[in-house]
Amino acid sequence: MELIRLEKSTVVFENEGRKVYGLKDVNLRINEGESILVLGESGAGKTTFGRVIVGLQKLTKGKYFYRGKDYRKNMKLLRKEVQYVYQDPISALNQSKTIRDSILPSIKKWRKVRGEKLEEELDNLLKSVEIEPELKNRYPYQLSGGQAQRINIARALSTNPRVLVADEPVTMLDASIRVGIVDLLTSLKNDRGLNLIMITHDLALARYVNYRLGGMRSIVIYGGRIVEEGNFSEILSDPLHPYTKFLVESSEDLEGVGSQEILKKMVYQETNDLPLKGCPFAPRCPFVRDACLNSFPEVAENPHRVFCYIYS
Amino acid sequence: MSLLEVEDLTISYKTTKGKFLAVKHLSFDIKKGEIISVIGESGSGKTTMAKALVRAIKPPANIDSGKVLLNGNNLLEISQNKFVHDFLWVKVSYVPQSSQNSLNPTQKIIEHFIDTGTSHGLRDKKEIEDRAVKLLQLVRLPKSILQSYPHQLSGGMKQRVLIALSLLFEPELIIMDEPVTALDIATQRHILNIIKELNEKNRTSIIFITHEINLAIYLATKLLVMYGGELMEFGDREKIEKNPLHPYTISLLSSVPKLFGDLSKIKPVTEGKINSKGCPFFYRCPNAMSICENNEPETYTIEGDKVRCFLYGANKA
Amino acid sequence: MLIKLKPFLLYMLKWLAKRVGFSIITIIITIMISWALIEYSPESPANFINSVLPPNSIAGKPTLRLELEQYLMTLKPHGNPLIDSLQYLWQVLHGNLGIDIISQVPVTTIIAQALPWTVFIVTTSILISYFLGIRLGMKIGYKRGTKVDSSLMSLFTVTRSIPVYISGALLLFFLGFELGWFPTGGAFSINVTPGFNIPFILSVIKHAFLPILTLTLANLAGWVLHMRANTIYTLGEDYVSFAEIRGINSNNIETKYVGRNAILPLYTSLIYTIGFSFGGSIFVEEIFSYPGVGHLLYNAIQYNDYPLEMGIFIILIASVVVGILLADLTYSLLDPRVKVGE
Repeated sequence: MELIRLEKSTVVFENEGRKVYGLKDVNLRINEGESILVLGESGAGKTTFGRVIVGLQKLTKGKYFYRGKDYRKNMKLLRKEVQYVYQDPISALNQSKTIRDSILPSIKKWRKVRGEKLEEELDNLLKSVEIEPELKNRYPYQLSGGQAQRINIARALSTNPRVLVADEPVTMLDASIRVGIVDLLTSLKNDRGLNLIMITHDLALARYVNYRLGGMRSIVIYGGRIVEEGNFSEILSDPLHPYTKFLVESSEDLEGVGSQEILKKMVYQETNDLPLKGCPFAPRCPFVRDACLNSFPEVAENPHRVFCYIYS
Repeated sequence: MSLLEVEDLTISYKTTKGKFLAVKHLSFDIKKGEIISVIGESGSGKTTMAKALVRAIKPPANIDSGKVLLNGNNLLEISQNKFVHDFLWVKVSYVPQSSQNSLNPTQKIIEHFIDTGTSHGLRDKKEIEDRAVKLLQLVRLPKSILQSYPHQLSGGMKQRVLIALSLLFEPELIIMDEPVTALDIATQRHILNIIKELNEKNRTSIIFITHEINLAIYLATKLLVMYGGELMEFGDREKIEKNPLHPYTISLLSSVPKLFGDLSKIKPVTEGKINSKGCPFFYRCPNAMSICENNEPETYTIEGDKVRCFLYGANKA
Repeated sequence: MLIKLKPFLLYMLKWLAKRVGFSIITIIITIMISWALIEYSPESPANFINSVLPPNSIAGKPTLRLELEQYLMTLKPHGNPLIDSLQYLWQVLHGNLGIDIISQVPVTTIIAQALPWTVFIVTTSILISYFLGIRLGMKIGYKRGTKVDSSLMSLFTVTRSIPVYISGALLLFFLGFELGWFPTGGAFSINVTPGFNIPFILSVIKHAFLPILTLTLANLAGWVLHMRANTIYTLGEDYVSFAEIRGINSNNIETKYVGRNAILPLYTSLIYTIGFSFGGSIFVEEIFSYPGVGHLLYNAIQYNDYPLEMGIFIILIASVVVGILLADLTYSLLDPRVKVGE
């Protein structure tokens, strides 16, 4: 069953009279129960992607269907079924409210629980994210980063969602507890049959998510475009797009391994302006050809989907 | 002979709830040409420690005790004038966190160099400008940016300006506090390579502070692992990477997934607060013993590495 | 660079045209609304003249009220605020503000005589309070959290809430009447010849002293508190602590790093304040019988002398609107982060 469908979805931002693509001609289908990894760096458009999926960001062009229905006419269902987990766990919570007061209204509204059952429901929800129910009377500033992120996840779960969009959910946390949050997200996915949309720039962490959930599909985003799409382990072991290669080799290099095939050829340059025409990676790409500057390539299957003139 | 020796450094903060120790009895040293990566989580005291090395500790923080010896001179004891004139920026300089806005928005880049130069005895503005141009070349920036304002530069460019600024007097030691956090991968890599090059060419010693383990390992010749304001483990990078001794180092290294290797052994460190009485890691430690709760372990030297854990003491339970 | 410059210039010109256009429209609409308000007002200059003239003079000249009302009809011939105000606007655009009802002198002449005095005391007091306030606010900001800080804070919070008609009256009473240090009215002594000579200039300064002092005290507290808050905020900025870490000397940090960045938000308020303060000087001019536009307006309102009222309104409106426009245009010169058009 198809749950999410993006068709030529485009988001344009204006900045000092200059256009920037938050998202450009993105086509994607996500089926019920399916989880995906969204890979890319800050500024690549992955946060815009996440915000589109939860209905927080309007499309400039193109379409977004949730359960077959245009998102604009489906906001009520989106609000309930698609939830967002933010990067900064502390500031995502209402600073002036206790945990209890931030989550209870949502339980009341979406779970239709009343009276004494309400507290019980809240306690169970907190237990499901491995938070002691006693913590519910605390304010956000009294929590550690890890606790705050678990509370955020509990808040997201309070509506009984079908889709969880986690936008860099562990980047701001201490390294030692990151995989703990990932463990929580992945077991929630397994226990509740959620769709997990995990957005990250950290390939090693993505590898761990994939290890926990197995055979995940992933998309690589650059300049608002999907440049590569396929099974995660395939993308990691055999990256096709020069940008994906660059990402993989950079991460490998930090661990002191890898071929550096593309790293050696790349000249570092500042990229504040991405071209609006052609492939957004063209200005940095060592394999750039004329065609790349004029139009964005069609998809090639070689063996997984890639958008690059090298393969078409 | 060590370039810098930190001896028994203790720094406290006054809070409404009383005194809180941010750095506790910290001792380590750095030799010429070494890169020490200081790994620590939030609250580990690593930034406070870094600021103490350039005497930038201000109330409500206070240095309670300890020495910071640079070539044998205790930086904490000499007069402010002598420190600014003979040591700060001349022998030891500082690169602030990349996520901060450390450049004055109403000043051109060149003015930052001039202000810094004149503050440490370089009078000739032409000379400062010549040095700035050379240093920008070193961090691969065009000299035209000297006439730019900070907001006209990208995050990576600003960070490279800060590195160039730290090199104005070719110091022997540079302290870098999270210099590449929050930058994109290409920029991160680019800056790390500049730092490496700097270290190799000039034998500049570097104290590199980070919470990202892979970055720490990538750059360092030695690792200093901090937790709750205390040294947990200090020693050779390769050795610690292969054979960590302290339970905190062991759990930390096995909590971070890599691109290669077995993922089944990856597991998070138990969440928990810092123990303020005994070993700070007590509440989270998989090997915690009763002695650890209220007693502070000494620093034990095991095969050249320093470890602060009762597991390695003679009086272990 | 050249290729990029052209669209940027065009963009700037477009922005400028838009801003100036908006300013003109604002002025026009405000003039029309003011006119309409006066037209709907039940008060008439005739009422006032009737009430103050001795009854026997009305008896002797019973047609006076009628004459006046006929004259007034020529000012608002249609009785329709929209048409009348447009007509008035048309006259204004030709530089004609009408004839003052009471004195029968052109309004422009009256205002031209009074305006320089107001401009003099208002700008002088604002500039003094601004520079003093910035210096003081910064000093206090540096001493944040100390006893000096908290006591000065309370002092200025209190002085800020004292209205000018109280502080002005007190100053007038003590320094003017009781001690006799300063004259109690007028802009200069009748014993001096107006012109560029020392006795005249000294007399002008002596007469303006109390009004300027009153206005300065009224404005000072605001600047001090604002600058203190900005200083404290700026002291917490990363670039200030990094400058300290670099060992930049503290005078340098105070002026280039803290001062400059803390003053920026106050600059816009400065220009606005100059515009708004013309209205604020009404009380002060009245208390000190100072012959500026404020004094003029006070009288015009008492007599319902609306050609004069309108003339002064236009000055007030224009100074506020032009002030805001100027602030926007020049802010980019001070803050390199802001380009004109943002």
